[in-house]
Amino acid sequence: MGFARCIASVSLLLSIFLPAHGQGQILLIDRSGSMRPYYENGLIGEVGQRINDLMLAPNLNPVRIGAFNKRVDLVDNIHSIQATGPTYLDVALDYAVNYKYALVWIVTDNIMHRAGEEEGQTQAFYDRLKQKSVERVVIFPLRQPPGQNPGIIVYALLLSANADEAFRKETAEFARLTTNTVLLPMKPLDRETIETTFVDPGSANKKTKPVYQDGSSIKESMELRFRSRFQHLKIIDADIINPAVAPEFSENSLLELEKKHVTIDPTKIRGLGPGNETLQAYKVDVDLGKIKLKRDFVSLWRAALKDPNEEISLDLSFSIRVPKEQFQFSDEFLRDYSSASPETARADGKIYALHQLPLLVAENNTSIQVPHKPKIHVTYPWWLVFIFPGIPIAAGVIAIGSGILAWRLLKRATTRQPKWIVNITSPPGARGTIKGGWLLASVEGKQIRLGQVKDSSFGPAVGVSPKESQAIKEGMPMALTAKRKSFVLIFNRPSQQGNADGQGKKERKKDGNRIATKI
Amino acid sequence: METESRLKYSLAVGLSIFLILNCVLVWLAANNQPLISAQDTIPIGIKWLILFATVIVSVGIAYWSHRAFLEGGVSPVDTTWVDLIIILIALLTILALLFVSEAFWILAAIFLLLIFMFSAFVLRKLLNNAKGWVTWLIATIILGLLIVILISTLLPAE
Repeated sequence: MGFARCIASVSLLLSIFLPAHGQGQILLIDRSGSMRPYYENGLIGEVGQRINDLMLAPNLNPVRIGAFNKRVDLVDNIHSIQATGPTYLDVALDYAVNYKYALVWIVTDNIMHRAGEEEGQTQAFYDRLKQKSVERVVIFPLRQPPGQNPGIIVYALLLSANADEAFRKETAEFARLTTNTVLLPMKPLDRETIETTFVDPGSANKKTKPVYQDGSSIKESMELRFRSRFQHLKIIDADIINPAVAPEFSENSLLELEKKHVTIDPTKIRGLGPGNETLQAYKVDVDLGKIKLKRDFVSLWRAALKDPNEEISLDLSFSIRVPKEQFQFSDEFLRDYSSASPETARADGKIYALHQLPLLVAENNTSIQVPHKPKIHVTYPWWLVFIFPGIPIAAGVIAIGSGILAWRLLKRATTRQPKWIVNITSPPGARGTIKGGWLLASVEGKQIRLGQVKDSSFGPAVGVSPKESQAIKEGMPMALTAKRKSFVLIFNRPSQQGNADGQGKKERKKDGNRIATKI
Repeated sequence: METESRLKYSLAVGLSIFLILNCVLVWLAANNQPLISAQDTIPIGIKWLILFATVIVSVGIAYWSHRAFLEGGVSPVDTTWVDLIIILIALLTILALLFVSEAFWILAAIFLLLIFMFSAFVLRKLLNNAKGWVTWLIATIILGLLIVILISTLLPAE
């Protein structure tokens, strides 16, 4: 008990000096007794050195090397490791997780050997691989020359998403530099593993992107196939469940949809080989109802003043549920790398029971998320013109009209207007009236606009000569020419009495040439 | 040259320039050139604001030319036709710039042809000079064709 406390205290103290989560890399090499032949033939030295060199390339420090059997010890030199004892793969992984390494490489013959347990019980290790602390798992089976030793396995584990780029680079580089191996991505199996392709490649073409107007119903149908991105895994039988659509609007989108309904037919995937495409075409129907602009004033105003086009990614997603027994390695891969028994593994230089790996690593049910992002184009309606510039223009017109009206009323109320009577003496029979400041002459049933009377000034209309304004002098004749007719006008101020009782008005009407008008 | 003639020939030259400009715009629309297709991204409100502004400006120009022509001694009827042509051409120009895309270029071309014929008819009456009118007609057509060909060689393909 006291010893355990001591260990715990030391661990706590050590943890203070450990790298922060996701900061380091460690290469853990199996030093169990079963690994001795690989140390002796130089394989571990060679592979270990290669991985060490790869780990040094990215800036992901510190880089450590450890050797494990029933415990893990850090070492300075791969060649100093002595192979002895049992294999505790789970202890090795726990060490890397507890010490918060971001990236872990494990080199092992994959023969889990606990004291008192049957050899080959690797379930405890694989259960840990399924835990959330392990982000990615890539497995490299390393085939050996036949007749010597079974093949070994190199695990590359990503424990922190921050090191994803380094992880991808290092694993790709290891696969490139190492012969007699393949890169097996085993976790996650539910992402980036199946993609969709259009049955008609032209429908993915940008030019045929459907264009919708405000208020139109969005109903899209497409035919798809599913393509596996697995390199060595095949899917025997799987169900497509929960087809969903989550239209991805731009950040400042002003559009809204009525509903989100999507169906796919059929809903089974059978015999999808690695890198292959389903022979079956799947019909996808998307019904989003009517798309329309948000009808609040602010949205409409913004719509009138922004690019009237919006591109919407429909973001369809299909979940393909694969029970773990429905994952299988391809026959070709199993033929090259897997062996049915430890004896044949030794004879062929292959790895024992590799065919069970999907059963061990995969979840009971893997739901592979398959995104599909067809795009549609929506244009704003023309009637936004009524919002802008319609409303500002209408407001401007109303404001200007009201202003003019108010100004006129104010002027009429405050200004003493002179009163003029206009008497047209020539041509005979012509009558003059003043309406709204304009002097109109009625001649032979036609009305001619002669000019504008303003205070004591007369401004001729277009086509009236002389063109210059003239001062109105009471009782003095004013000669004008308009429409090839000569006019002689006499302006007079009406008498107060005549204007008051209407008598003067009556008298002037008798001769037909005179009228009294208030200006 | 007296004011009346100067005004009439200025109008003839001005009409030629704007008709050729519209010819180029319609050609660009027919070929869906980026210059025209860029109008798809102009906000609807701004497009219409420009259209209204153009209407106001063209009506102002028409009014100014109306006064100038009347004072220059041109008959009120002829000056009214001139007003109409000025407003129509201004509208066509702005419509071609802001609203005519590849889909509607034929409509714009028909509209342009009608305006051209209408302009020729009004100028025939206004110039009252057969030689000058024929010269205007041929010069406008040939210059229009040449400029369209020149621009088609200068602008990049779609």
